[in-house]
Amino acid sequence: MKRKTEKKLISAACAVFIAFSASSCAGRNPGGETLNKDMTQLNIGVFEGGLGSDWVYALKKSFEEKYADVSFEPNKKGVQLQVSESKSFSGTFGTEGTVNMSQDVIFAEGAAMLYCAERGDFLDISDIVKAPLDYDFVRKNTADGGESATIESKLSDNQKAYYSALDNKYYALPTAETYMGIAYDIELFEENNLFFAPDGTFVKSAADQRSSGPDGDPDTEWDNGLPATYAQFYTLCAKIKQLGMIPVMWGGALQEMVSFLLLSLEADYAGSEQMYLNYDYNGVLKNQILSFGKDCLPVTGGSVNISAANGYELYKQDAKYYALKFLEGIIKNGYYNVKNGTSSSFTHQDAEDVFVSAKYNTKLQRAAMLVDGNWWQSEAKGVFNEWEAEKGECASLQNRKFGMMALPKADESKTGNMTLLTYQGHIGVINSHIEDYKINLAKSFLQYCYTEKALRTYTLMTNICRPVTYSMGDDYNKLSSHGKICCDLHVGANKVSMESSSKINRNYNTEIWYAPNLWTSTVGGTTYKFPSTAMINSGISAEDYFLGLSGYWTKGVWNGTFRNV
Amino acid sequence: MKKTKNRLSGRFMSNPYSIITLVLLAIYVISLLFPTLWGFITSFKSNATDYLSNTLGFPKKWKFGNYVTAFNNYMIPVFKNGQESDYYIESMLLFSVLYAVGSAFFSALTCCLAAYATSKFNYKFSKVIYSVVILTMTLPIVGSLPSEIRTIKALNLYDNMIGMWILKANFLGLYYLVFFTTFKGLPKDYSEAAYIDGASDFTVLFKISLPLVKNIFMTIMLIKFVEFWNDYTVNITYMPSFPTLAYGLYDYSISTKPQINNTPMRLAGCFILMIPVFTVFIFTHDRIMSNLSVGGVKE
Amino acid sequence: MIKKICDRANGKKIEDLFFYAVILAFPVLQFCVFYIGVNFNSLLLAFKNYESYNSYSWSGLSNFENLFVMFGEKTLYAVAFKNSLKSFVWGTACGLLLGLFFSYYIFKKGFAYNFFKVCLFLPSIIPAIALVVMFKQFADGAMPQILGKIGFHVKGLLAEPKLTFGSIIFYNVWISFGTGILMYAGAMENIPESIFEAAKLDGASYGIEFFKIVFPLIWGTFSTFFIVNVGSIFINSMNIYAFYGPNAEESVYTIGYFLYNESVKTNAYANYPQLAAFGIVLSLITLPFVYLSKFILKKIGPAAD
Repeated sequence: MKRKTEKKLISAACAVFIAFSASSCAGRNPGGETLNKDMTQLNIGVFEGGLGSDWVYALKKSFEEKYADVSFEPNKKGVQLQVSESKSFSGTFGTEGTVNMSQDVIFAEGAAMLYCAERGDFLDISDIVKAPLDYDFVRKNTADGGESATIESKLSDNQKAYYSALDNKYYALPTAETYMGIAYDIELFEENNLFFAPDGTFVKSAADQRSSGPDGDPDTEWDNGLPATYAQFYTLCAKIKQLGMIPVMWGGALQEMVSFLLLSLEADYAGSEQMYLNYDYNGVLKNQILSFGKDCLPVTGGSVNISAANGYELYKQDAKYYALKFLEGIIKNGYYNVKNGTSSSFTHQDAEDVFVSAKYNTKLQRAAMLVDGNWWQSEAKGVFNEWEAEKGECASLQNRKFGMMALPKADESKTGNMTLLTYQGHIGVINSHIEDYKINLAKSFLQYCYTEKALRTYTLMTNICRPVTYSMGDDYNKLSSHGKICCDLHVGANKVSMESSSKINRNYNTEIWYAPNLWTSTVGGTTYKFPSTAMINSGISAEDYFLGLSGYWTKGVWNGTFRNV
Repeated sequence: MKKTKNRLSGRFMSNPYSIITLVLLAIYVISLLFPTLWGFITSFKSNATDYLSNTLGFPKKWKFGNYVTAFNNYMIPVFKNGQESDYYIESMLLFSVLYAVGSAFFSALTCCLAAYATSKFNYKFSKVIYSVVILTMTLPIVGSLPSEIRTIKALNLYDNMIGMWILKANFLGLYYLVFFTTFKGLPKDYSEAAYIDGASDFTVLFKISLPLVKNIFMTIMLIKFVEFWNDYTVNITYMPSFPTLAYGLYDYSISTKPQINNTPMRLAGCFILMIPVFTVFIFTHDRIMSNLSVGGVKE
Repeated sequence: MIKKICDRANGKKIEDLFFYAVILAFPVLQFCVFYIGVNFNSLLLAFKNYESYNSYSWSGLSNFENLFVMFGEKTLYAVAFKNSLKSFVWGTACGLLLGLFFSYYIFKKGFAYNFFKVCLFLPSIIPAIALVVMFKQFADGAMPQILGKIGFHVKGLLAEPKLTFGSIIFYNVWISFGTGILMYAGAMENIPESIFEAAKLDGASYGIEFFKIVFPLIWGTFSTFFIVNVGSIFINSMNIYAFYGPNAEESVYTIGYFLYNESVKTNAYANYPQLAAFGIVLSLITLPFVYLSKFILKKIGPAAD
């Protein structure tokens, strides 16, 4: 009897399987817009990540209208943009590069730009970088009343050097200004009077005058009232903790975010020139800490010429110590999410969800600040949408008030503009393997993405900036509070990027930019990858951890790791 | 007969070894089923309003829609020849079965034939093959991927199912040793009788030796099937146009799409794959895992 | 007559050789193309240095020299080596031995043996990603709450540093029984029933039956598994990548995880020469142990008769 039932079940399963699978052999066409076979298809690939592709759809209509009457292929008129997201658009684009990809223009993240360009995956785009933005590559003429600036004029000197490092030709353009920082809940700060007054106490109401903030300039309103120094930051944390909330939260499953925050703090302390030594290995290191004396006071050393051969000297850079000191203060005093700050089940996405949800879900302990990248809101779109559906527009991403905090300084002597350390690998490229008739069209689209209008559209859709010079103009007011602060930082901060074309950076890119590798430290015979867990689990002090950085990165280990540079 | 079986089973269960083993098995089963049950219940929760503040408990509101969302988001876009095709679960299921069954069969067959030849024939080359198997088990090869891709492309085996079957059909590894030991242990009486009757080597192989190791073959094929069923790296490296369920799950689990980027949705995605496979397994495990006694020379 | 016999013998030899060649043709060809051909270049990498894309230069034994310098300078190798050995010992002690006992229980058709058989094989059916997601969520999410209710306060089985590596070993043993059960139980089924009947008549207990009859007769299967375990000590990555990606703390590194992690990095091409050299050194260490294990197991193993 059982055998009969079994046979029937197996036969039924096989029949269902055959019917199910046979109907799907060829795959389905993507949903959404129908393919228009009378138009030339321009395939746009976007990395499937937090930033998404909404900004491409926002540019799509105007670009398509621009060439509605142009024929690129026989019997076809106009262009239709086909947008697809995939995680394939990163790293080295797989072992086969872009050969098999049908995407014409690709916006990648975490890409090894120079390696892929050298491999022949990316088209030479020097012409669109150097030509005025009003030059039309398709029609081969200059439009009236267009933008006469070039893309090159919007790049910084370091960007020009990096992106044209291969034979003085451009193969890619930077697309996203991303960095790790501390997001804070502006509404929570306002409700609980957590901003500082000019006399160093807390304000008594939202309307009270606020302190100048870390940059010491009362005219830059976006950072006014925020803690100016580490000491003030701990005062803030103490108050938040007293109120029964979590001062600083991070995802326990991704300790690297805390490590990247430390890099941001290090950059802010060191300044752009000294920070860039860590990527370029070409310059003079000015401030080293050699040891610690009585009362843990640093004993400093003189200047050192840095090259790829002695890069291990950078692990005595004083800025690293002060970044560790900042973290030590948070951990020692329990100013973080103690319950799940090291839990592998509490992801950074969970942390984002709690950060957003705790206002409405009172069973969750509210957090005032979140260690995350400036792209975090795009990543948390799902939870914003969920709450908007429950509570209405006031709970939407656009209307909730969050911001990226200007990082506090180690002490008052460091007051000044923030130095922002931006990530590498966010690039826009043209696939070198596309059909000839599409080349000018692809160039035109990539060029279009760097017009003032398109740059603003990008920022409006993602709430972060592209790392080129532009102004939001009146569109600034349409941004969320997070977006506005990102723009303020974009304009006001000194920037330093992880991008460098030095041989050591090209050949050992992951070791050079990836934070966990940079914060590895050997203390008492044990090697730790994450300062956060070392301090939490083993009680390691900032001083010991700092000295352990040089304990790990000895001359032997350095030369053994970075061969032939 | 049944009474005898029960009596024997009762005798077995009354001794200390079996009681200890039963306790250990019970602990194992609890450690397996409890998290699975917890995961299943969690997959019905809403993330923001429920899971984050209610990790252990039952859902406040059962969100069956999670499974619909997960099902619709199980999608891999494949880019080929200027076209994008989106493959959903049904396609991935087909590719998974083709890949897993084909690779398992050819892999087991290659192992079996190589082991048969080297165990039955005492040529020096047999010792070479045996040593090669041992050596390769201990040799961690790194950096061979680019070279492998180039080779596969040169032979026109890249990105096609038959190419994968050929690539996986090697005799290296543990199962060669299992087949080798098995063939070495087979009684020679049948084959010698067949030779005397004028049978060729091929006849002895296909009509006597292979049927005798049928169960081992099916067992090894099953083990390999499971291994290939769960292999998601093959799509990333060799076969991007034929996404399997394992790759679909991998891609789903790291996706940052807002609608599935949280724990309950990830668990829903996992269970969408697990439940059908689990159901089929429950009803067919006897057949799949049956340990039939091997026919041998009757005394 | 003698000539006829010799002719027949020679004909048989040629027939055997032809059969041997035909049967081995595809496996050997496949091996030559997809193993030797592909990996030869990789082995040569151990003697080269990376310059830039697709460009390596000969460097003799410098990668090996550098490797030994790094052994002394970095704590990682010692820790990973120790962890690899620990996981082998526990994996063998728990995984192989428990697998044997469970298989015997199922073979003897103990209480609810079918149910246990299905459960033991389940982790092999369930995709590894799904298992890791559930295990992580449960180990660090639900377990602290459950243990908290009975008075044990832990951050989590994976979050608590003292428990992390043990939890990973537990996970790997936990999912490993399926294959072993199939193989051992299958081998046990091959034992003639007459032997068990004879043992029963002699009054042998189940313990004696297991240790004196069953285990010796499946010794071949057991020793094969053991030798494979020895051979893969330094290849086994213990699913650590599935748990932590590239970000595991050094305290849970195994050699297998280190090798895998280094080879999947974005700029792994620059590290390939060093890794290839390390791979060769590991093989040179492991090979004698594999042969030694084989020798010892053969020596101490019971004779089938």
